Amino acid sequence: MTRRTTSRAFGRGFLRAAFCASLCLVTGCEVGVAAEYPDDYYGEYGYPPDAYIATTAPVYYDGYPTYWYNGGWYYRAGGRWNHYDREPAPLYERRVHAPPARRNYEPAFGRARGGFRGGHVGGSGGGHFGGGAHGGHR
Amino acid sequence: MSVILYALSHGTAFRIGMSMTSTWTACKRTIGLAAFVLTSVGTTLACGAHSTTQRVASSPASAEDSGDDVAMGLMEHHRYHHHGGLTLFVLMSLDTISVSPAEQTAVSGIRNDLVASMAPARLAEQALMTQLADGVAAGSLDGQKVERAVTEVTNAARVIHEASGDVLDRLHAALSPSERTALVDKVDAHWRVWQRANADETGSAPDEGGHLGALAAELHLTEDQLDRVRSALRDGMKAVPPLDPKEVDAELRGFGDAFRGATFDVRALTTASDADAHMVGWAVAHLARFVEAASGVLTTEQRAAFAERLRGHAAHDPSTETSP
Repeated sequence: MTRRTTSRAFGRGFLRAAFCASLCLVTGCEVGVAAEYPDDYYGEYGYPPDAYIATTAPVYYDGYPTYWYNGGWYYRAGGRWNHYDREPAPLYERRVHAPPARRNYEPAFGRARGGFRGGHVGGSGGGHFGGGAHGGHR
Repeated sequence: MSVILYALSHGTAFRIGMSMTSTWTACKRTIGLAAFVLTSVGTTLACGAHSTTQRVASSPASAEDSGDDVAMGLMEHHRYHHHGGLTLFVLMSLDTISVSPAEQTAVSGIRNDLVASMAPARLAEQALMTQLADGVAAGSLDGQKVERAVTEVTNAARVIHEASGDVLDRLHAALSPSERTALVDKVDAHWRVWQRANADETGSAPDEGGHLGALAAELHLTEDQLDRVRSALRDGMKAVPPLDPKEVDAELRGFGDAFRGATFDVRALTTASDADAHMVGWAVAHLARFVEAASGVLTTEQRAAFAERLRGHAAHDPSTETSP
């Protein structure tokens, strides 16, 4: 086998690698990490409860309403809850500088009545980022 | 990371002096590994490291799961405020939908129109709550008056969908696709929380999120009092037609599917008025029966505290406290 043959093999291999990486990007980024988690996954990585979704302003990122909950960003797509293992920079910035607001509807047994906390609902409490391939904003 | 380390350790296959055959074998192996590593790294870098949790029909509905007073406040709200039916869920969802600044004026106007469409039902519910509070404080409820008040709330709820006219159409037009998705998610979440807050508590143990569970915690009801409330509630609810959650499920599914779409026509939701009337009618009747059942077994001090709580809800209107 000559060095030229070996070189061609390298070329084909890297082309193959580049193709795989491109394919991965095009098909929605979840190749290889979308496996079903075991039954006890919920206990460790619980997604936001209904009462949380109903009272908390989302941040729109990559076309999805995304919720900061229990130390992570969660969004629902196609009937599945998903989260980011690494916090995207825009979401980090939003969380640090303008945390998502929550709506308190009732004084719970004598606490201060109603109102918001944790930020402002509206343009500054939630927010819109990204746009991505999943829907986007106008 | 382990894959990268594996690749590096096998990179020694390129050592000088290795035969061409073994070099070719090593190259093939390394090329394959490189493809895998590039694929993995590409995925990770491009996606901000997405992960997918298990497929779910809904989120856990309990306030305890949220573990905070905001969630508990929502449960409390859904125990006592029913007048707007499913439209009230939409209104409440607007509170935290977080629209873009450009949309705020339009959505604020839509929100005001929704509040106006529910005003008659809100007043009817306020009257019912005041009657219940007065009855609890006095230790005696006027059954006929309470029944009339329940009917008035139900009738007012039945016409909300029609009264709101094209408000939902305008809302659909004002929101972006992702905001519509957020709104539908929130409406669904409100419905599931509502079910938990208005759970059937005639069984052996009160649901912690339901009326009896909450009252037991607040007023420190004894086991004997709990048993007597449950027994009286069982008798009282015999005359109330049961609520079929599947009817509301179907209504919300229809709304959600339509509202997430590119076009939306509120006139296609032909069963919304019936769903509102059934849900609100059952809820206020259940509330009245519960208050009646509890009132008969509470001490004077407990009745005073409960009456105060009912008055607080009668006077409290969260829809006036916010703008989107």
